[in-house]
Amino acid sequence: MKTYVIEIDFFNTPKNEQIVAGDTLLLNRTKDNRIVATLADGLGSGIKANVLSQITAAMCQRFMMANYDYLQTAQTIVEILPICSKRKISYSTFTTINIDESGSTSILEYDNPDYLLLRDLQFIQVPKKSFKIKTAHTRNTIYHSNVDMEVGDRLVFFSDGVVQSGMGTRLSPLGWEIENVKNYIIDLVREDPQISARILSKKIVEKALKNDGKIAHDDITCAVVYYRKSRELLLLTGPPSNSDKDRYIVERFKSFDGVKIISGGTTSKIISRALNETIQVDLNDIYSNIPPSSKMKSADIVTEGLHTINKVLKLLEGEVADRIKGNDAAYKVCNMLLNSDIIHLLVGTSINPAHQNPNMPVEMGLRRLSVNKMVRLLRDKFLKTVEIEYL
Amino acid sequence: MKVTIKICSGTACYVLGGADFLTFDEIFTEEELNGISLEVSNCLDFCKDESSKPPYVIINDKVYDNMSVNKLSNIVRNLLNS
Repeated sequence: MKTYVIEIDFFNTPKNEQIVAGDTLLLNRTKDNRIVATLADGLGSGIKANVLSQITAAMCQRFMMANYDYLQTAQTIVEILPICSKRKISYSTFTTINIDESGSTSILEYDNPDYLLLRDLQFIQVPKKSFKIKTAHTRNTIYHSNVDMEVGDRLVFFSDGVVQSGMGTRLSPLGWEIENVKNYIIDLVREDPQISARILSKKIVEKALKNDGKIAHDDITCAVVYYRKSRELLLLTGPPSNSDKDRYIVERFKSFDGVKIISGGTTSKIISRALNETIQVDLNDIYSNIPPSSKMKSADIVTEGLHTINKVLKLLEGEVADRIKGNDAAYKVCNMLLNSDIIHLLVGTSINPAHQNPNMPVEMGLRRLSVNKMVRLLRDKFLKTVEIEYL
Repeated sequence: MKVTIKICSGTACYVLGGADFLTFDEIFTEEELNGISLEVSNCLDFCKDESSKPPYVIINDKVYDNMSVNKLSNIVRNLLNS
């Protein structure tokens, strides 16, 4: 089981009055578990820039995923980009990163602002090799560098919309400038050392937008790679078919290092009896359309079983906005699942005779079906590593 | 002496009508609520017993099965008035 994960996310806003961004960020995971990401910034803004950056990013991704030589990649892309009818040049900048599971990273840069490597609240200067690329009109320089990511490292890369935000204003006539961006990132990470890639990139873009007086003068995109220890979660649901296995789930629960969820009345009783801990229903949760959650010292949350799992399933199937809005037990479980990288499920297969009542909704009798659907969503839609054990 | 009510919010009880008991401030008046001590359990664990039916409620230490809002309010009101 891998211990470290590569968390990568980005945030982006188009130039004011444009319906699409001229920056493109593409992400892919390869079969050998490398992550390839490209940020391309097309010439100008709007549809034309969008097309340029999409083409560039797509080509970078394909070449990098196939482990194509980076120098030839850059040469090919620069040569075959379409030419702008006004400026008579073909142009899209790009930063493309290729990172494997061990954190070994290769970065190719072409005219975007330099990427930043943050380690222990300090920016590390990474040596780069430069190469001249000759095109029909100009000679351009691309840079290649390698970084061995260490746990807790962050790579931050962005389009010029970030560093140039606020340009020409009284407060920042030369724009936000790289040193100020760095200080802002350090402040954010110092304030919240575990800040996610999503939140960090969003805050940087929002600050750049604020520098522009809330009217973006350029497309603004920021991406963050965060190499960190994986977050693990254990979800117990349902009592084992054979009570001899109760001790096994108690031991797994006790020794687990991570977020712990117990879903089910009987399951929680098994744990509470073994650990001699009381279960207290959270009365703040009482007006939801699912049973209230409970508190127990060793668990992060205790919930009712199937009804809650079925609602978690609906939340995972639905829109992002819905998933984060509510506050009942299912929303809490859903957020805990999505904040984790590796999810262990211990699923008891004992059948509760009361659930065989014909008045019970049909999905209530089928824990295995609901759990399997949930696992599929977590694996396929949210790219989580899920281990499932039926007892 | 307050009337103590313990409501089960386990799956079977909740789905078979117990969810309605959780809106107890709509079932009882404010004056009645002053005479009630309410507790919610995540599972009272009676549903394995096939001789009785969920939803279960414990009122003054006595277990009631196959409960409804009407039955609950009648029993509690009788106890409050006695």
